Amino acid sequence: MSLVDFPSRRNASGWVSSSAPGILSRPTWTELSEFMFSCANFMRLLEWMAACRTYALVALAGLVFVPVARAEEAPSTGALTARIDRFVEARLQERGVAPGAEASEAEFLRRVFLDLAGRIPSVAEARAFFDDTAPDKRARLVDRLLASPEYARNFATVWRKAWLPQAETPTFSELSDGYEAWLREELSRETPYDRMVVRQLTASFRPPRPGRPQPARSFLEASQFKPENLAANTTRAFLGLNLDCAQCHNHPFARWTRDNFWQTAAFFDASPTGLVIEGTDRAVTPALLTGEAVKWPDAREESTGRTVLASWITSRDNPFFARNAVNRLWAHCFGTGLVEPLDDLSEDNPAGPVELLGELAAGFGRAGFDLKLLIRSMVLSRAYQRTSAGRAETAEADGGSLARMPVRALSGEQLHNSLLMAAGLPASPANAGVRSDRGRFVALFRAGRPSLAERSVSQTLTLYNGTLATALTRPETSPILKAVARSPFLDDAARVDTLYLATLSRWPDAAERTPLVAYLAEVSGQPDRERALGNLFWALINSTEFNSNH
Amino acid sequence: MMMRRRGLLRLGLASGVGLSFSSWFRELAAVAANHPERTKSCILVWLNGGPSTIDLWDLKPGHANGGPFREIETPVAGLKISEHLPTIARQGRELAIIRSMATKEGDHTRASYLARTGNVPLGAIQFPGIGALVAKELQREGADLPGYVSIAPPGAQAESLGYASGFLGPRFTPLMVGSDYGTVDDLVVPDLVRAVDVSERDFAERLKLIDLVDGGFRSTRHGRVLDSQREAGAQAVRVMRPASARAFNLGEEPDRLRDAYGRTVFGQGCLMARRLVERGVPFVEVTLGGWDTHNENFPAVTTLSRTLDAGLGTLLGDLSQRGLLESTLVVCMGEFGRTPRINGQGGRDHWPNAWSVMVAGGGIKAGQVIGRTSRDGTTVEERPTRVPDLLATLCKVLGIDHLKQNDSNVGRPIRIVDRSAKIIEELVS
Repeated sequence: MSLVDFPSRRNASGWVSSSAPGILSRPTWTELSEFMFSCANFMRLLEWMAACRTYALVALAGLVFVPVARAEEAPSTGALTARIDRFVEARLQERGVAPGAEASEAEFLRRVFLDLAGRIPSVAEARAFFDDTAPDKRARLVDRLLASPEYARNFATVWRKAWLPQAETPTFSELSDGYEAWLREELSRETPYDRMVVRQLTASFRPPRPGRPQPARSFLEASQFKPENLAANTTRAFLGLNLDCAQCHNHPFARWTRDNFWQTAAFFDASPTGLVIEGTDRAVTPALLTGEAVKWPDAREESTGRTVLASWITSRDNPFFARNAVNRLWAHCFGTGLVEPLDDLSEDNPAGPVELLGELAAGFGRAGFDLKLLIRSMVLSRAYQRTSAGRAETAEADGGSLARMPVRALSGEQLHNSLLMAAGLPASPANAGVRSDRGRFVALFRAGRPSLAERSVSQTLTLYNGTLATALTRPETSPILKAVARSPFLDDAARVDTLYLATLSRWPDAAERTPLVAYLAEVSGQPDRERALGNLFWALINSTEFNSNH
Repeated sequence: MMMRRRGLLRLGLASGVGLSFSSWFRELAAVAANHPERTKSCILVWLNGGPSTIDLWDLKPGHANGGPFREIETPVAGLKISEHLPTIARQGRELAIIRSMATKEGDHTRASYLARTGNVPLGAIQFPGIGALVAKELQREGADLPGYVSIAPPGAQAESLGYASGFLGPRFTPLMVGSDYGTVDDLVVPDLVRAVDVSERDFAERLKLIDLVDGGFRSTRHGRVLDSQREAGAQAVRVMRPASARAFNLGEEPDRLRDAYGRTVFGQGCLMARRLVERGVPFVEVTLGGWDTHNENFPAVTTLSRTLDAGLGTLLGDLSQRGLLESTLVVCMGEFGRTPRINGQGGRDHWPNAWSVMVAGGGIKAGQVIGRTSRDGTTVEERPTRVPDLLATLCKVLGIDHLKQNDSNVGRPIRIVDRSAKIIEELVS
């Protein structure tokens, strides 16, 4: 929503109240300052302020503090998208690799649903998209997905995995549901990325009162509130820096020293005498990794160190903060980060990707850490919309060049959501819990990096013979099978088509349809037809096409 | 077309071969056992909870810390172990006992992770356990059974204790059978058999249909993710074959042998481990929990020792009798030892400073004791040994170069065992 658009008093106050919780956050500042520098709008701003004084006071107070630098124009999606494509295409040309063809609409549809909503599209959604003839239908689909509650649900899981990997261990698995619920709430309110990080780092150390859980505190809790754990996990999660090795010794190649590590840890320690380095009798006081001087407030309390550190981490001038977010989102959309490993932005990295990373990061900052803008600019790029098809011989040479989209594994969540969707079953509740059937399924199908994740035999056996797979292939417990098998309007070709659309989100081509229609035609009688359709549905959900994001 | 033919071939294997398997399998096993180049296997007997090794392998008779247990002789002079391990003691010539393990982790999770991965938990790096590392090196291409099977693992916590394949990925994730908290009846592979209403014919049709459905996609999409799915699919079909599924069927073993192993989860698990290494599985582990004896250590360790002695003792004899001991390295250990000083509740607490590991088979130099603890059992006096030293030695015995590097999840290559590790030369012949 752009501030420039409000034409009347009612819309103005409507806008303010709907985003009041975020009014102190940066996108508002950026938007306000942008607005202020436009003369015509300035008069309307005054008009509007008069109309709602309470908010006007807050906004005016804010404007005073907005540094001139913040007045830089926030980038548009189009500008970032164009930058991405210039970079990718220049690299391809440099390497003499021809860019792959554009993804078909079915390929794009499935991919963008999995990446943004965490599931495949329904039969109805796929049909509607194929029937839509408008030239901007891809962009509109992206907007619709980003506005859906499933965006928040999906990315709550994505950020939980990035920020709280401990939640996948039994010790901290109980934190997972509450933390994701909190992330869902923040993401659906479009809380800027930097605010989400600050809230976690400055959450209270004190245990919450019974019945009043504070899920924003999970990050601290998963580090057991220990300064050394917090130093390692904070720098990894929010800055993409790996300080682990520096905990015990100076790393011979990396730039971080043992003192760097313990000085970072000291921000989480309230003791006035400094934090003692483990295994020594030397104490250090808080100091920033970049060596900048720390500006301390006059009065210090337990959380002061964390507050100071959080404000340095999330500052637009921090060299790592925005880059880390961009790099992780890039890895989410393209399978591999611009810089790898994801938690080692400090190492020497190839200049080209680092430059793009820096530009996208600066744009992300100028846009007030607006996650949706960043995601939109990635998925609308030509680079994201390339086919994953290609010859095997060139797969190696194309690796990492983005000449085509790499094939990625589905996460446990994506797989479970997609299985239910394919069968026409309702989505399982978001708070199903780690001990539910869904929780156990997701844990069994837990995969590491989607571009590398390999399937195990146990996983396959469950997808072949497990209770979920079995239920989905019986008409009594699988709505899609029941509809397809018992609807009098469908012939065998239409049955095959519908099952393809439900599972693979595309129509079969003639070469695929013919033998399958022949397979169905071999059987006679309703029970045998249902059995054969169950077999076909089983094969579809066990195909590699269904089990990957391509 | 290729794909369809392969599907039919697969179908043929799934239905026909199982019937005649038993007759030629025995011969095959015999040939394999005697073959000089037979790839080695490893059985890890994991004593979960921190076994009181001062009451198993390194007794301190005549000292207040020794407690009530007595030592018994083995056929090897100077090699004495607990009186509650008589079956194992009789096979002293096959054993080597390392009495000088010295580590620094006294917390169960951290110590288990260290003992099994060679590393302390370091945030993001998902270190693979020794089982996955060995499976990756020794698993035969196209083997019917998985490379790493974990029998009776300690429930949901297993992964954080280092039972996982970490950055080596799901391909080397252990196939878990039963649970340390379960019963003998739970010693089965989940979802190994078809659903009741899916006939053998249906299942064969389903596999053919996968090939049909996947044909076009297969010819245009490539990469590790898809390869691993196809490989796991083929492997799932192979492990579902009656002949492989039989590896997990203890009902085929004579009652007397099953009795000798002990009718416990652990005992029957040891028997299953033998069946698996016999069929070429490179790494099998069997967990026996309950060793966290902070209270009333001695009655608990007596009972546990009986279970351990029946299972492990019978396993050593059984392997030896089948000619498999030379090619099967058996390791018995936990995450740390227990305090030599007996506490006020008659228990022993955590003691990583000085503890023992038992090793047998695999062609090691057996019949010896390596290292020595002080008279009170509290400190290592000779040849302190760290976890990486032990793991590097196990690799060496199994014919694995422990300095080989694997790609890790953080993008940095990581060695199987850290370069600082020193092989325990006395153990390697």
